[in-house]
Amino acid sequence: MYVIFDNLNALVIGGVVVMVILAMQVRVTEINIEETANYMVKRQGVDLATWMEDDLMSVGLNIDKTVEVPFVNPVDSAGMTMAFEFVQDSINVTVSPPDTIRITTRYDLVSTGTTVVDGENVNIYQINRRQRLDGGAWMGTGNSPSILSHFRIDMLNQDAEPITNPATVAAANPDSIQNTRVRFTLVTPFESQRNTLSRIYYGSTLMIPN
Amino acid sequence: MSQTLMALLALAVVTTFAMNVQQKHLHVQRTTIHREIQEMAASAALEAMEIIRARSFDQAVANGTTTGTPADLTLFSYNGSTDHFSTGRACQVFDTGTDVCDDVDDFHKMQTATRPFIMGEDTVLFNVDVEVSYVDASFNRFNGRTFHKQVTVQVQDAWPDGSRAPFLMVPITLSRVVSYDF
Repeated sequence: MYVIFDNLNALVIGGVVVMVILAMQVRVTEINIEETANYMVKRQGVDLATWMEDDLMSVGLNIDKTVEVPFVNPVDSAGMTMAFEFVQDSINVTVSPPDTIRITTRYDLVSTGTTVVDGENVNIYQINRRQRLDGGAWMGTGNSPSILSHFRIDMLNQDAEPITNPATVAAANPDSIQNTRVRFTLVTPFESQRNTLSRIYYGSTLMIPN
Repeated sequence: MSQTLMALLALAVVTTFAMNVQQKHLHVQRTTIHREIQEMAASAALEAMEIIRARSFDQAVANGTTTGTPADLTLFSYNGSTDHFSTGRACQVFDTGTDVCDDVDDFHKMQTATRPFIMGEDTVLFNVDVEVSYVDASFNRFNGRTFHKQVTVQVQDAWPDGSRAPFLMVPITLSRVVSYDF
């Protein structure tokens, strides 16, 4: 007993030191989890943006836009784009006459449930990408991570303003549609107690090829 | 006495350790936010660039006085070696005034525009500045008329209520060359 009292100071201070070290250990673990979650969501966002940009930059490729509008109006609901379909032509010039294949690409936004972000329930979605050749059967050709909370595609005029009913406008004046803009938001796949980021936002404006 | 000294040393070490951990967390937070602001700034820069690229190459093209031949070079605007084009326009498309900026060089040193990046319920604002100059075929600045103009867009986050300094110490810069097609 007297050993404890003789070393009381050291015991108290030692206990405080151990508690602080444990608290810092928990804090470091939280930091690592947060960094991992941020890296995952950023990586997924960049990957999604990369292939989506590749796709959108080929809207109407090899198609005479004075004859045909290479997309249908984005299907919007509650400020989000639920479906978007566009076409491009692939031309094989090694044969005579050149062989043209019509490639139709379609994005469908499907609900994958809800998640809790900053204490509130948020609907999350996934983009399913499908393609078909020359009007054949649709084939699944990829999908996004299922942590999208917002997705929107707009067709813009030369002042970067969204156009209502762009397919009709483009049919009357093909030069009126200059750009495609895509914006999406990803939520982190999991939350820790102290999150710096709960969502990441991405936006890109792409010129429609001539 | 030695016991007390060792206890004080242990406290000092653990306090330093705790401070380092907190500093690291602050650094991670700041880096994360900085990276997000950079992404948004890049998106704002790209959008501004697309607005500018949609314009005519030169006022002569917008006016319809060009002939689609190399002789059009003499029709292009040129204000001298310091600023190749006139400055200070308040371009309507960027909501800074009523000037109709209908060709690429109208945006040279225009009045600083503020573009929003809308993220759900919040909006981050960015200041946009533009410089345009003639370049040669090697993309070097050329003090004279050429068929190529380099458009440089600089974007930095803006907090109009003065609540904070910009996150981006150095503006994001996006540069593209537009060429006259004939």
